[in-house]
Amino acid sequence: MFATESFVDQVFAEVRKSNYDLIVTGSSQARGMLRHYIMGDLTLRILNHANCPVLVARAGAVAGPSRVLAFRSTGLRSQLLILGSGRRGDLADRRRPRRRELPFLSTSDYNSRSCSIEISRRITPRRLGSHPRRTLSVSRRLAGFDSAFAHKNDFIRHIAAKFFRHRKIDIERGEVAIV
Amino acid sequence: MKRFLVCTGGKEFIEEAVQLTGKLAAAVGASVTLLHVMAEPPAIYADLVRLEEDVTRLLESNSELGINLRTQKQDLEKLGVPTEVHVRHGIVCRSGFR
Repeated sequence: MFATESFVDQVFAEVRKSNYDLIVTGSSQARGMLRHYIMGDLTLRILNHANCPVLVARAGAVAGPSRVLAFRSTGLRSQLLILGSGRRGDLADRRRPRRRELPFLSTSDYNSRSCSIEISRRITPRRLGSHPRRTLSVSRRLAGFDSAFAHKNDFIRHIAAKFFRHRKIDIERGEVAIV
Repeated sequence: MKRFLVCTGGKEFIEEAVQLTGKLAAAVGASVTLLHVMAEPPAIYADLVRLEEDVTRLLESNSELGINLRTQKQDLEKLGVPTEVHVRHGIVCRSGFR
């Protein structure tokens, strides 16, 4: 293993010097056995050797909102294709969308009593229709649908705002841009 | 709990941890120290080392590390959390392979 010990030594030297009550660190950025072997895992070493509480905050890879949705309508079903992984939030995705992981979301009849939202990950536009899906069913009341929607775009805006925590959504020429 | 230590690599990966720490520290009235352990570069970059060891100069600099640490410190102080920045020196190859 490469020498990460000296870094950890420095952390614990600082802890001993100033008598800290809590050590906070991010999770390891290394993914996979090889990267772990090469890069080591400072977080794990701190966890294993600390004599005080350690708080590990997950760094990155958090499911969250994406920025741009591509929209297409297939008969009664409205579909939202989310461009960008949504893993690190707006800013990171704006700089470098990860197109290999495209959550897919489709909705059933937007004015029925309950609607289902199908979400799947790790698909590309070419593979639409052949990817595994998991379905999340929500009732209108749970999703906060107070009234019927005049147009399916209103429903899409509502869903996007509700589940992707964006406020302003522009729909134009089959694309949904979340600002 | 009065003193929290945040191990920061000086990159943006730690921002979520800093925010979380800030909220916790503000809630319990604790102070936070941002600790960055930097690798020792070759001797020709001795000036760089001196810059990074001088925390005040580092925080005023426009280096990526300086900007990130300054931003993290300001974010914590906005939450009303007293914040210090400490920089230590880690020798990368001292332990070699194990």
